[in-house]
Amino acid sequence: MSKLLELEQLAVTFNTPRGPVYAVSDVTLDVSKGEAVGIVGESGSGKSVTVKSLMGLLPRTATVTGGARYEGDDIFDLAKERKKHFYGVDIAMVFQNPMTSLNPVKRIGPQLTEGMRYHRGVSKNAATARALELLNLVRIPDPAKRLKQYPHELSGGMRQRVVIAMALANNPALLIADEPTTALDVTVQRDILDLLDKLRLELDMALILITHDLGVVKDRTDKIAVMYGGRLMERAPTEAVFSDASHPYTQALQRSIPNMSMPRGTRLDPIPGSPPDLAVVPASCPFAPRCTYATEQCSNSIPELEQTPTPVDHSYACFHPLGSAATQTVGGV
Amino acid sequence: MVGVGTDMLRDGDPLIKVENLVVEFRAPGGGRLQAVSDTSFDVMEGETLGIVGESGCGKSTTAKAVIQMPRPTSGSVLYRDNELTQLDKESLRRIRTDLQMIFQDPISALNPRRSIWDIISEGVVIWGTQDVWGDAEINELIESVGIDAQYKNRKPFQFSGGQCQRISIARALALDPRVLICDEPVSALDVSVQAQILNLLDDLKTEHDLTMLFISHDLAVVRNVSDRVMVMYLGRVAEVGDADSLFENAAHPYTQALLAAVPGSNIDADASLSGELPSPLDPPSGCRFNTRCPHVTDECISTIPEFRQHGLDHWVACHHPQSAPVSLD
Repeated sequence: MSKLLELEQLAVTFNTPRGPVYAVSDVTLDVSKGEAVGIVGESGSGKSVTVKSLMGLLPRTATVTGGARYEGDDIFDLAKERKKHFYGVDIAMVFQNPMTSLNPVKRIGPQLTEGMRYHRGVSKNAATARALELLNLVRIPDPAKRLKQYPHELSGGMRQRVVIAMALANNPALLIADEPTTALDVTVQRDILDLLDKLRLELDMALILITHDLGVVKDRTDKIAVMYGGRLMERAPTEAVFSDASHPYTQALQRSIPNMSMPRGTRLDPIPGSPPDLAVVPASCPFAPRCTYATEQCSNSIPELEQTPTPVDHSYACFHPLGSAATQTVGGV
Repeated sequence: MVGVGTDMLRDGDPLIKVENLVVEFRAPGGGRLQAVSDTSFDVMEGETLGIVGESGCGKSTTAKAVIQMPRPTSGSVLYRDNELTQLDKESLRRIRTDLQMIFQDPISALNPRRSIWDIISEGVVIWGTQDVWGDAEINELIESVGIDAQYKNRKPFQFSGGQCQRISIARALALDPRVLICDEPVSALDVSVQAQILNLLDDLKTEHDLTMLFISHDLAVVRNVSDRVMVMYLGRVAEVGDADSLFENAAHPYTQALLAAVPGSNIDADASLSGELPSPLDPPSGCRFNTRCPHVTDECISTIPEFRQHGLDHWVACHHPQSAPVSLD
């Protein structure tokens, strides 16, 4: 598979009245054509800021450094004409809250066709025909009627389908979905995730699925990037994240979450402490204060991404990866 | 759900017994919206009842109706031989100290202008219980929820979401409640912090002999904390019973759909739901789940199912339960 998107040591800093906030540091990640990549992290881990920097959606207070290439072109340095028809055509994005992605005082039809008309200059009739096709594609019943409705007349799940249809209007090669189901009910969540899965295969589209819930990306992605405190903790094929995690954070996260196979009253294994303060100049592993295996080295220097001895592309940023001598002497979490 | 009847109420002496609860709201345009319809359940002392369902199913309204906030339209809420629906304002005010609540968004649940000391000790001042809750005891309480008491003069914005939820819990406990109603207490928290709060609630439940109503849309969380589980759909109860029996032998197609929707679940997608939640202003006739149920028959459209026993402590309101009942012999 050829590389569609390549991020190299991407970093985003926000300048705030209280000083700089280091939201994203040193993120290196690539996405191949048709590949599904999960970015998993808690709030403040930098997962949304990472993709927003690609989409040019960060406020002026943000400083972005590092490289981001789309099919070899520098995303941050696109020619004006190319840029005009880049977002929404090559890369499209779906956000968490469908209500804020849709214009509340505009009918669904014009919202769906607007992008096609702008980017491709198609006729109104052709755009409307395509809009109907898209609503069918995302399995919205009675699409002709929907085109004339306002967003408030649709349920949350239907709105998110409309937003997905909008994103697909120009056949993007990469769809970024930022917590697309977090605002929805669990039953609807499964539908939307199944839909994204199906569309990705049908349209041969790459997908970046951002979530705080490891369960959401399990079975649905080819590889996962786990972020914490603005940094990549681990990057591995999905299977390896669940069966053979190298980073203590990845493991601690999995152990702290209750699951249906635990008997009732099972004592959970929480991660002590709270997520890090990003206003501090990064000088240590962000997870060190909460990590069972942390040593002085972890508080004094930043671990680099290292490849595991496995044949697959599996890297971690930790001085004491799971399975190493240091973690075995502590005797497990 | 969608079921009626009170067969699932248990013998013995429940701490809370709710019968035929109805909560209606005025809808815009003059209609009546029935958020909770003819719902009955009981909670034994020391038990944790988990209430699950999609948004709009009436789970929060049911819990709030227990503490008469607002008062239900009809039905009975019995708490330790007190009929709460009949109590006058002052008696209700006094009894509410027994029934405390914590909410989903811990930051908006705390007054941003007051110190956490004021927030936690306000109830003690109002009820004049300083002899029991002196400064030392309140300090101890603050420490017991995992907040360093030296920060007691700080304000809520100086704490993280998880810490604010700890403070909310301390505020509730300062009134020595018997019952703690938790409305999605971990849904707004970071995943790495959820387990801390769940473990804390578990510790405090034992320490303070609490009975809990635990509302959540997250089935794995409910599975972890609940002794008994009640599944709600469109204002009615679909299935209720012992947590193990309910999760391992789910009988209602809606419960099965919820279980299938848990991320990472291995349950076949056939059980997943089609269609939309119908409008609560105009709920379907018969079983309210009939518009989305894969096993629907004419009977489901014409007749509201009554609760039938499905296990020793397991009741389902469905004409066509989807698992074999456990023999009661």
